[in-house]
Amino acid sequence: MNNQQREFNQERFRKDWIARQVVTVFGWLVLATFLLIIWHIFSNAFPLFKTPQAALSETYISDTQATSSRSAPQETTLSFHSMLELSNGYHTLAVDSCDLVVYANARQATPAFMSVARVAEATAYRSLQEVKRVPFSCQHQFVFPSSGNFDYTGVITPSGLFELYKLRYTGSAYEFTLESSIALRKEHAFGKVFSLSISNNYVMLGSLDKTQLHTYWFDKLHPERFEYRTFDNVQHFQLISRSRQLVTINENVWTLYDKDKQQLDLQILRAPIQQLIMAPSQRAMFTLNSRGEFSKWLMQNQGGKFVFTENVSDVADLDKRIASIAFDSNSNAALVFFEDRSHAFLNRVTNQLFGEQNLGVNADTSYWFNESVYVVVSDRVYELTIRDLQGITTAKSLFAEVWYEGHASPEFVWQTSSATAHYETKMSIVPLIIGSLKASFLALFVAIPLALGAAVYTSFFADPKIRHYIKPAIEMLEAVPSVVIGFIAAVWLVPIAEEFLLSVILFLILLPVALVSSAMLHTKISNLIKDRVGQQWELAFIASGVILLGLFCFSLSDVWRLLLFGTEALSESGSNSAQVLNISKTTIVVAIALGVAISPSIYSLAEDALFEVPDSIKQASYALGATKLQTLRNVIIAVAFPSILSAIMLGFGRAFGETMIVLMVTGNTAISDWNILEGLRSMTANLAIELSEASSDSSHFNILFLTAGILFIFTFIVNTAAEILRNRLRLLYNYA
Amino acid sequence: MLKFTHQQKQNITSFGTGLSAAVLLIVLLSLVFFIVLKGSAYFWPSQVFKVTTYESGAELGKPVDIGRFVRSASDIDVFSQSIVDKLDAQFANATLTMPQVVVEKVEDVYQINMHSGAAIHGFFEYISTNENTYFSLDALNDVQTDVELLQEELSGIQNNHLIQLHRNIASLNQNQVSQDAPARIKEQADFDYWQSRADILNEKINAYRLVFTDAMGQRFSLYLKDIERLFKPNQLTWVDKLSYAAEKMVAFVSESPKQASTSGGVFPALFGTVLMVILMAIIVAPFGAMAAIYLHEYAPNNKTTSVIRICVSNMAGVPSVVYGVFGLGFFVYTLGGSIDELFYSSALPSPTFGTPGLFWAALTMALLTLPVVIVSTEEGLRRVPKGLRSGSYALGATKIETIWKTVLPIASPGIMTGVILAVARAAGEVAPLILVGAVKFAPSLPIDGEFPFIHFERQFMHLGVFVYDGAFHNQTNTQGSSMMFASCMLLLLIVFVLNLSAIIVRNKLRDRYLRI
Repeated sequence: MNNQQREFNQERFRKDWIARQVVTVFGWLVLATFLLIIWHIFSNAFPLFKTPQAALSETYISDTQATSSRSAPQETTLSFHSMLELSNGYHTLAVDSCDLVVYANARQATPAFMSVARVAEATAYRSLQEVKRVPFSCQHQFVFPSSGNFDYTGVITPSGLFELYKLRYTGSAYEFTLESSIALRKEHAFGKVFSLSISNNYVMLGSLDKTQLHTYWFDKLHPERFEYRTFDNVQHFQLISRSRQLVTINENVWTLYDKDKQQLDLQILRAPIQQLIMAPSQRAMFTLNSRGEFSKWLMQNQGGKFVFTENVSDVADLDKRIASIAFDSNSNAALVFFEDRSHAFLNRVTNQLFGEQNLGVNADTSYWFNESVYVVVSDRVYELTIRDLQGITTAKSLFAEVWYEGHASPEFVWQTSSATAHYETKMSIVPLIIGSLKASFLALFVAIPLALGAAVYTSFFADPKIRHYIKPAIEMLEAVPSVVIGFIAAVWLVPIAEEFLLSVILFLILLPVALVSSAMLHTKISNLIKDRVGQQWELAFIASGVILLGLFCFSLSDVWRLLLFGTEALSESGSNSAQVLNISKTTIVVAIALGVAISPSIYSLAEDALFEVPDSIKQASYALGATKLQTLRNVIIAVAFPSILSAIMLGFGRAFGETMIVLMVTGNTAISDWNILEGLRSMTANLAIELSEASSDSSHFNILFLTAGILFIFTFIVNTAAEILRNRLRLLYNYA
Repeated sequence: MLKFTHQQKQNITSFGTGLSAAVLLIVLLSLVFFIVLKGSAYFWPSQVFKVTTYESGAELGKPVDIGRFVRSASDIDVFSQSIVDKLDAQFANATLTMPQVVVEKVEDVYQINMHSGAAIHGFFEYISTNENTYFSLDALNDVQTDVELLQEELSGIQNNHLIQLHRNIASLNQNQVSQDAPARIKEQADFDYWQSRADILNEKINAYRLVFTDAMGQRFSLYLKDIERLFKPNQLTWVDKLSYAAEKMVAFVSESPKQASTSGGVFPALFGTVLMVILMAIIVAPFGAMAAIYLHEYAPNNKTTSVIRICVSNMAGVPSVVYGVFGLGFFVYTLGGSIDELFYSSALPSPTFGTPGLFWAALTMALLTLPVVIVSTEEGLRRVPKGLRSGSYALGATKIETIWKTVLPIASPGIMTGVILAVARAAGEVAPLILVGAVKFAPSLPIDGEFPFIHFERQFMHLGVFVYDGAFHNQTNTQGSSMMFASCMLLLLIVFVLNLSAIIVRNKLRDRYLRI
């Protein structure tokens, strides 16, 4: 029996132990979940702070070259020239013994690894499969586009003809088609440095002969109408086919010409320019001058003509010359190769260089496709794989004013949709933070008087029986889903807000007047009705008074408008008054809707704080002869002040994190303007709109997580501060 | 300068603060009133008016614009005035002169509710059938029976023959059987035979039409099979109206949305909300209750416990959209992605669990509402008198026995309150749900007859998301927005009922302590 009892008890204690473990695990799980949320959000924002890396992943040589080198090393005339991005992947264009050859990368063909004895390191090479060979005689000279459309190849024939070929990929095979041709002047057709730029149908060809520049500009469809110009004293030039312009540089004089050789702009520079590189969008240019200043020039529309302006505020310092720059078409990144065989990443928007590495690759030609940069050296192609590209986002691009292409001055812009390749993604989170703060302050503007007034009334003035009903009723307002408030505001309040704006203002002006007059009359009226109606009807009187006053103001809105603006205002059905007062309806509606949404939570906390002020303190105040009002002002509010402040802070936190109302009521335009009368887009609404569309490995995704992190930290600080304030009050009570 | 006496000052303060309270109450009441008013218009049959606009000046000669039927619940004079006002605003700045408007109530106009959800108005002319015979409205029931019989026959042919033949031919196609194989020819002949019979039946059914004239006097006909209901809205008695409204309410909670969410019902949204909320409650109730028991009964009074408490209070303050961000990033992409790689690798790259869905939504909402349950349960536990625990220990009970048999039964209303509040919160929350799985239109319910019957990975519809979406798409259409108001009303009703029941349960808890 005793033994049985002991076993039974052991079983009980074992159960107790297990239960303790299980419950403890769940308790700690709360902490774990909280930490997981923090960790997850910040780990997703973390890639922004990494530095992008470029690592050599493949080296490509042609398959003919590979087979020949296996038997015996021999001299090859092969030289790679250009990369093409066509529908089926990456292809390489090369000149091999005077022929033009298209190679398909081994990635598409069967992989054929082979080590080549000539190279000291036992590197694995991939061979490029020859897919198309177009024979030309060795007297032909090839001109590859320096910017614009890379699908074209220019050929200068021995007879001085310039022929423009287009490379097309038709399902399985390549086709070289002659698109257009013009006759060049014989005397400068050969042995010159040519530059070609193509945009849509417009072709620009330039050749620099010592300091004299010859240009041929023509429409592809009408080559017979080509225009020939010469420019003297030119050291560097850039063709801008998109805007049909030309930039020439001589020492420190910068000149911009249009297609008719009319000088559009002339600028004297700080120092002679050594290098000039066109951005692929053809809306910006990068220059390196003799002082080592690497700066960006942006094309701007100044009174109808396009000129270039230097972005003086964002100048990087370089101590070496640039060999080439590969621009990414999907992000703001570019990879800069220097002549000393090192390379660095460039944020082409903010003009910041970082992450310098040295791979020992001499890159005169480089191209960026998707996640790889291809460096073309005379007889081989190196593929560099880019990692942590999100790190191209700098603190400057997130938080500082940045001068974007097509903008008149540095600005904060949030605009993520990329319509075309080489579009600058504009992800400054400043407008979003400003939007969130603006919405919250607007809401507090409405919520503070409403919530605190109601709290003082119910805790101090109202009949306890009334308080018993009012408090749950107002708290019921908190239960109304924010989407319902947002819906009513969007469907009902927005259309009438503009129309009744004047009435609202009138209502606010008349309110104090009505208040004072009713207070004056109150004593007399109360003497009359005191015996018949109790104090609990006071609120009903006030409410009906508010409704009557409201009806008075709103029903006569036309009359007020007539009185203020005269007859012509009447016909324009209300929009006029909003224009006159220059207030967008968004502001009013956000203030009202969000204010109403957060008032109940402020009210609830503040009311508790005021009500819980110990009776002994009140009694002491009365005993010292203070009036009711004096007690309220000097004792109750003073004692409960930290708690009221904490209630307001929590309300602010709630408004800051509120999503649906802001999303549904505002126009969600990301404007970085502190003017509370302008539109706004909050961080929360932005997350709801954009997050499900952002791909999870893009910097856009990471930046959205960063804003989520900011929201998190902000509410964390506000909540903690509010908690500390409330604890101070508890200490105070202990002394009381 | 005015000088106030003390009494007056006090009155001003009292009135001023009372004013704030009054405004908040008015806002609550007017919000509810407005939604109920607008929402119930969706169920109540509205009157139909004929509006004709005539060229101005002329003696009501030629109607310039249109004669049309307009639905409105308001009285004829008010309605007429509102149309004139609207035109007034339109023509105020135009050089054109304002047309004259005549609004008249037409007694014997019919409202035809179509199966597609549309409502059409017209004067009844006749019923035409296949034998080129015309019937009056008295024969409607007989004709409807005819059509029903024909439709039964048609669906018999479709279900018993055509579907099977379709499958057979499809499998022949799949196996690349040649065009002139005997099996194929036989199947094809069968198919053609049944198809032609079905075509004939279809033709017969389509011959049954109802012919109406519209407000301009133009005739139009409608297929009898498309008509759901036919009645005279201007001649309904109160009883008729009530039964119509009741039927509409039943349809509202049991049908799918029709006509781009401007008519029909909200059943899928309601179903999705309830299912998500149940799943969430199953997850959050034990988690929250256990965590609260740990915090109140087991946790030592030290730094780590206060850290956990700070976590709980901060989780309550984190914006809901941040939970959505976490849910999408962690549950959907990280967890769902790994589940797909482990168990559904054959279906990749199309994701199964690696995409927003019901389960992830429930899990996200569980995290969101966790602090609510913890705080409420702890509140319940705190109110259990210490003497009860001591009594239980004195009788030799272990800690878990004391908690399980003594403390929890008394504190259970606290848990209940927490779960109810959590459910109310989840029913009304939208921002995280649009990120983790709620969509404006889901083609299928998350529960159906297909194995495994409940599909955790499917996207679902949610009442709040439905309202959010409706706010943007149906503002111009009054009928559509009244459906959205009806949805709002339903949502508000659910949330209010849940909150009220939470208050009642909480009060019950208090009563229980009073008795002890």
